[in-house]
Amino acid sequence: MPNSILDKINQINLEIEQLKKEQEEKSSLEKDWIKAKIAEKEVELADFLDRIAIPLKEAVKKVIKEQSPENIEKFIEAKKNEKIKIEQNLLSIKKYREFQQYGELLYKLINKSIEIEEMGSKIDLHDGSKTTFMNKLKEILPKAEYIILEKTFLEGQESIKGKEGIDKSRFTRHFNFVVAGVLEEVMPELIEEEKFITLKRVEAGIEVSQIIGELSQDIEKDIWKFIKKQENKLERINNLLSRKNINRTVHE
Amino acid sequence: MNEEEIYNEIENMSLIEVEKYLEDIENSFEEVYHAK
Repeated sequence: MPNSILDKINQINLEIEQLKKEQEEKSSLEKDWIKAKIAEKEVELADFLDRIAIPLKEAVKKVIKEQSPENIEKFIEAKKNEKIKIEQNLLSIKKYREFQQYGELLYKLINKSIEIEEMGSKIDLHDGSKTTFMNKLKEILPKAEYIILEKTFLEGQESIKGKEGIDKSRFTRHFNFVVAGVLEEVMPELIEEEKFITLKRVEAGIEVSQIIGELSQDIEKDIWKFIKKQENKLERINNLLSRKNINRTVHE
Repeated sequence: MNEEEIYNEIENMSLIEVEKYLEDIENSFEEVYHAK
Protein backbone atom coordinates (compact mmCIF):
# COMPACT_ATOMS: atom_id res chain seq x y z
CA MET A 1 0.00 0.00 0.00
CA PRO A 2 1.74 3.24 -1.08
CA ASN A 3 2.06 5.95 1.54
CA SER A 4 4.14 8.89 0.33
CA ILE A 5 3.43 10.92 3.46
CA LEU A 6 4.75 8.14 5.65
CA ASP A 7 7.81 7.79 3.38
CA LYS A 8 8.54 11.49 3.68
CA ILE A 9 8.21 11.49 7.51
CA ASN A 10 10.47 8.43 7.72
CA GLN A 11 13.00 9.98 5.38
CA ILE A 12 13.29 13.20 7.44
CA ASN A 13 13.39 11.19 10.64
CA LEU A 14 16.19 9.05 9.25
CA GLU A 15 18.17 12.17 8.35
CA ILE A 16 17.68 13.47 11.90
CA GLU A 17 18.86 10.16 13.37
CA GLN A 18 21.90 10.18 11.09
CA LEU A 19 22.79 13.72 12.17
CA LYS A 20 22.42 12.74 15.83
CA LYS A 21 24.86 9.87 15.30
CA GLU A 22 27.34 12.22 13.61
CA GLN A 23 26.91 14.68 16.45
CA GLU A 24 28.20 12.12 18.96
CA GLU A 25 31.40 11.59 17.01
CA LYS A 26 32.27 15.19 16.18
CA SER A 27 34.18 17.96 17.95
CA SER A 28 32.26 20.62 19.88
CA LEU A 29 32.53 23.17 17.04
CA GLU A 30 31.10 20.73 14.52
CA LYS A 31 28.51 19.65 17.07
CA ASP A 32 26.98 23.12 17.07
CA TRP A 33 26.74 23.02 13.31
CA ILE A 34 25.05 19.62 13.39
CA LYS A 35 22.70 20.78 16.16
CA ALA A 36 21.59 23.61 13.87
CA LYS A 37 21.09 21.11 11.03
CA ILE A 38 18.94 18.91 13.30
CA ALA A 39 16.83 21.91 14.26
CA GLU A 40 16.43 22.71 10.54
CA LYS A 41 15.27 19.17 9.83
CA GLU A 42 12.80 19.29 12.70
CA VAL A 43 11.36 22.49 11.32
CA GLU A 44 11.18 20.85 7.88
CA LEU A 45 9.21 17.98 9.38
CA ALA A 46 6.85 20.29 11.27
CA ASP A 47 6.32 22.36 8.09
CA PHE A 48 5.61 19.25 6.08
CA LEU A 49 3.05 18.05 8.60
CA ASP A 50 1.43 21.49 8.62
CA ARG A 51 1.32 21.57 4.84
CA ILE A 52 -0.26 18.17 4.38
CA ALA A 53 -2.79 18.32 7.24
CA ILE A 54 -5.61 20.02 5.29
CA PRO A 55 -5.06 18.30 1.91
CA LEU A 56 -4.94 14.97 3.71
CA LYS A 57 -8.18 15.66 5.54
CA GLU A 58 -9.89 16.77 2.33
CA ALA A 59 -8.65 13.78 0.33
CA VAL A 60 -9.83 11.38 3.04
CA LYS A 61 -13.24 13.08 3.18
CA LYS A 62 -13.56 12.69 -0.59
CA VAL A 63 -12.73 8.98 -0.46
CA ILE A 64 -15.20 8.41 2.38
CA LYS A 65 -17.97 10.20 0.51
CA GLU A 66 -17.41 7.94 -2.49
CA GLN A 67 -17.94 4.76 -0.48
CA SER A 68 -21.12 2.81 -1.07
CA PRO A 69 -23.55 2.28 1.85
CA GLU A 70 -22.53 -1.41 1.79
CA ASN A 71 -18.90 -0.49 2.27
CA ILE A 72 -19.76 1.83 5.11
CA GLU A 73 -21.82 -0.92 6.70
CA LYS A 74 -18.91 -3.32 6.28
CA PHE A 75 -16.59 -0.81 7.91
CA ILE A 76 -18.93 -0.36 10.86
CA GLU A 77 -19.17 -4.14 11.26
CA ALA A 78 -15.38 -4.40 11.21
CA LYS A 79 -15.16 -1.68 13.85
CA LYS A 80 -17.63 -3.52 16.07
CA ASN A 81 -15.48 -6.63 15.87
CA GLU A 82 -12.37 -4.61 16.52
CA LYS A 83 -14.03 -3.10 19.56
CA ILE A 84 -14.68 -6.55 21.01
CA LYS A 85 -11.09 -7.57 20.33
CA ILE A 86 -9.65 -4.43 21.95
CA GLU A 87 -11.86 -4.84 24.99
CA GLN A 88 -10.67 -8.43 25.37
CA ASN A 89 -7.07 -7.32 24.92
CA LEU A 90 -7.37 -4.64 27.53
CA LEU A 91 -9.01 -7.01 29.92
CA SER A 92 -6.23 -9.56 29.43
CA ILE A 93 -3.55 -6.96 29.93
CA LYS A 94 -5.22 -5.62 33.05
CA LYS A 95 -5.67 -9.14 34.37
CA TYR A 96 -2.08 -9.84 33.51
CA ARG A 97 -0.95 -6.85 35.48
CA GLU A 98 -2.97 -7.80 38.52
CA PHE A 99 -1.97 -11.42 38.22
CA GLN A 100 1.67 -10.59 37.98
CA GLN A 101 1.57 -8.04 40.73
CA TYR A 102 3.78 -6.26 38.38
CA GLY A 103 4.40 -3.22 40.50
CA GLU A 104 5.54 -5.39 43.36
CA LEU A 105 7.93 -7.22 41.10
CA LEU A 106 9.48 -4.02 39.84
CA TYR A 107 9.78 -2.72 43.39
CA LYS A 108 11.43 -5.95 44.41
CA LEU A 109 13.85 -5.85 41.50
CA ILE A 110 14.80 -2.26 42.04
CA ASN A 111 15.42 -2.90 45.73
CA LYS A 112 17.34 -6.01 44.84
CA SER A 113 19.43 -4.04 42.40
CA ILE A 114 20.62 -1.86 45.27
CA GLU A 115 21.84 -4.95 47.07
CA ILE A 116 23.44 -6.24 43.90
CA GLU A 117 25.18 -2.97 43.43
CA GLU A 118 26.45 -2.95 47.00
CA MET A 119 27.74 -6.43 46.42
CA GLY A 120 29.22 -5.34 43.10
CA SER A 121 31.24 -2.65 44.80
CA LYS A 122 32.81 -5.28 47.04
CA ILE A 123 34.09 -7.45 44.23
CA ASP A 124 36.20 -6.59 41.25
CA LEU A 125 33.77 -6.72 38.34
CA HIS A 126 36.31 -5.35 35.94
CA ASP A 127 38.38 -8.48 35.96
CA GLY A 128 35.78 -10.03 33.69
CA SER A 129 35.01 -12.77 36.15
CA LYS A 130 31.55 -13.90 35.24
CA THR A 131 31.60 -16.75 37.69
CA THR A 132 32.54 -14.57 40.63
CA PHE A 133 29.78 -12.20 39.76
CA MET A 134 27.19 -14.91 39.33
CA ASN A 135 28.19 -16.67 42.53
CA LYS A 136 27.98 -13.46 44.50
CA LEU A 137 24.65 -12.76 42.89
CA LYS A 138 23.35 -16.11 44.04
CA GLU A 139 24.51 -15.45 47.57
CA ILE A 140 22.20 -12.50 47.90
CA LEU A 141 19.29 -13.96 46.00
CA PRO A 142 17.82 -16.80 48.00
CA LYS A 143 16.43 -19.79 46.18
CA ALA A 144 12.86 -18.72 46.93
CA GLU A 145 13.35 -15.61 44.88
CA TYR A 146 14.72 -17.57 41.97
CA ILE A 147 11.51 -19.54 41.98
CA ILE A 148 9.25 -16.48 42.30
CA LEU A 149 11.01 -14.77 39.45
CA GLU A 150 11.00 -17.86 37.30
CA LYS A 151 7.29 -18.31 37.87
CA THR A 152 6.57 -14.66 37.15
CA PHE A 153 8.60 -14.78 34.00
CA LEU A 154 6.92 -17.90 32.67
CA GLU A 155 3.45 -16.63 33.53
CA GLY A 156 4.28 -13.28 31.99
CA GLN A 157 5.32 -14.93 28.76
CA GLU A 158 2.24 -17.10 28.76
CA SER A 159 -0.15 -14.24 29.33
CA ILE A 160 1.22 -12.07 26.52
CA LYS A 161 1.30 -14.97 24.08
CA GLY A 162 -0.78 -14.07 21.04
CA LYS A 163 -1.77 -10.64 22.33
CA GLU A 164 -1.88 -8.26 19.44
CA GLY A 165 0.00 -5.00 19.76
CA ILE A 166 2.68 -5.94 22.23
CA ASP A 167 6.19 -6.17 20.95
CA LYS A 168 6.68 -9.60 22.44
CA SER A 169 10.28 -10.09 21.49
CA ARG A 170 11.22 -6.75 22.99
CA PHE A 171 9.24 -7.45 26.12
CA THR A 172 10.83 -10.84 26.52
CA ARG A 173 14.27 -9.44 25.88
CA HIS A 174 13.81 -6.79 28.54
CA PHE A 175 12.39 -9.25 30.95
CA ASN A 176 15.28 -11.58 30.31
CA PHE A 177 17.68 -8.78 31.04
CA VAL A 178 16.02 -8.09 34.33
CA VAL A 179 16.09 -11.67 35.47
CA ALA A 180 19.41 -12.48 33.86
CA GLY A 181 21.53 -14.17 36.45
CA VAL A 182 18.54 -14.98 38.63
CA LEU A 183 17.32 -17.52 36.12
CA GLU A 184 20.72 -18.85 35.29
CA GLU A 185 20.03 -22.20 36.88
CA VAL A 186 16.54 -22.80 35.58
CA MET A 187 16.60 -21.38 32.08
CA PRO A 188 20.20 -21.20 31.00
CA GLU A 189 19.62 -21.56 27.29
CA LEU A 190 17.01 -18.82 27.17
CA ILE A 191 18.95 -16.14 28.91
CA GLU A 192 22.48 -16.89 27.77
CA GLU A 193 22.68 -13.99 25.35
CA GLU A 194 20.96 -11.48 27.61
CA LYS A 195 23.06 -12.50 30.56
CA PHE A 196 26.18 -12.01 28.51
CA ILE A 197 25.14 -8.52 27.41
CA THR A 198 24.15 -7.55 30.94
CA LEU A 199 27.45 -8.79 32.28
CA LYS A 200 29.32 -6.92 29.58
CA ARG A 201 27.57 -3.74 30.69
CA VAL A 202 28.41 -4.47 34.31
CA GLU A 203 32.01 -5.14 33.39
CA ALA A 204 32.06 -1.89 31.47
CA GLY A 205 31.32 -0.16 34.77
CA ILE A 206 27.63 0.54 34.34
CA GLU A 207 25.84 0.28 37.66
CA VAL A 208 23.53 -2.68 37.98
CA SER A 209 20.80 -0.53 39.49
CA GLN A 210 20.99 1.69 36.42
CA ILE A 211 20.65 -1.29 34.07
CA ILE A 212 17.71 -2.73 35.96
CA GLY A 213 16.15 0.68 36.44
CA GLU A 214 16.31 1.40 32.70
CA LEU A 215 14.85 -1.94 31.81
CA SER A 216 12.06 -1.68 34.34
CA GLN A 217 11.14 1.73 33.00
CA ASP A 218 11.18 0.43 29.45
CA ILE A 219 8.81 -2.41 30.30
CA GLU A 220 6.52 -0.08 32.18
CA LYS A 221 6.54 2.40 29.29
CA ASP A 222 5.82 -0.33 26.75
CA ILE A 223 2.84 -1.62 28.68
CA TRP A 224 1.40 1.80 29.38
CA LYS A 225 1.95 2.91 25.80
CA PHE A 226 0.08 -0.17 24.62
CA ILE A 227 -2.80 0.32 27.06
CA LYS A 228 -3.09 4.03 26.24
CA LYS A 229 -3.13 3.32 22.54
CA GLN A 230 -5.77 0.63 22.89
CA GLU A 231 -7.91 2.84 25.11
CA ASN A 232 -7.69 5.72 22.63
CA LYS A 233 -8.64 3.38 19.83
CA LEU A 234 -11.56 2.09 21.83
CA GLU A 235 -12.76 5.61 22.54
CA ARG A 236 -12.61 6.46 18.84
CA ILE A 237 -14.52 3.33 17.92
CA ASN A 238 -17.13 3.98 20.60
CA ASN A 239 -17.63 7.50 19.26
CA LEU A 240 -17.87 6.17 15.74
CA LEU A 241 -20.35 3.51 16.69
CA SER A 242 -22.62 5.65 18.80
CA ARG A 243 -25.74 5.89 16.65
CA LYS A 244 -26.05 9.63 16.49
CA ASN A 245 -22.44 9.94 15.42
CA ILE A 246 -22.22 7.28 12.72
CA ASN A 247 -23.32 9.41 9.82
CA ARG A 248 -21.55 12.53 10.98
CA THR A 249 -18.24 10.70 11.54
CA VAL A 250 -18.30 8.71 8.35
CA HIS A 251 -19.45 11.55 6.17
CA GLU A 252 -17.42 14.36 7.62
CA MET B 1 2.09 16.94 -1.64
CA ASN B 2 -1.25 18.37 -2.53
CA GLU B 3 -4.79 17.08 -2.09
CA GLU B 4 -4.94 15.55 -5.55
CA GLU B 5 -1.72 13.61 -5.11
CA ILE B 6 -2.91 12.27 -1.76
CA TYR B 7 -6.31 11.49 -3.21
CA ASN B 8 -4.72 9.55 -6.09
CA GLU B 9 -2.87 7.47 -3.56
CA ILE B 10 -5.92 6.57 -1.49
CA GLU B 11 -8.86 6.70 -3.91
CA ASN B 12 -8.97 2.94 -4.43
CA MET B 13 -8.59 2.03 -0.80
CA SER B 14 -11.33 0.63 1.39
CA LEU B 15 -12.24 2.49 4.57
CA ILE B 16 -10.21 0.05 6.61
CA GLU B 17 -7.21 0.67 4.37
CA VAL B 18 -7.66 4.43 4.62
CA GLU B 19 -7.76 4.10 8.37
CA LYS B 20 -4.58 2.03 8.30
CA TYR B 21 -2.98 4.67 6.04
CA LEU B 22 -3.79 7.38 8.60
CA GLU B 23 -2.69 5.20 11.50
CA ASP B 24 0.68 4.54 9.89
CA ILE B 25 1.22 8.28 9.55
CA GLU B 26 0.13 8.86 13.12
CA ASN B 27 2.43 6.12 14.42
CA SER B 28 5.46 7.37 12.53
CA PHE B 29 4.82 10.85 13.84
CA GLU B 30 4.52 9.45 17.34
CA GLU B 31 7.85 7.69 16.93
CA VAL B 32 9.51 10.96 16.00
CA TYR B 33 7.83 12.63 18.97
CA HIS B 34 8.90 9.89 21.40
CA ALA B 35 12.46 9.90 20.07
CA LYS B 36 12.86 13.54 21.14
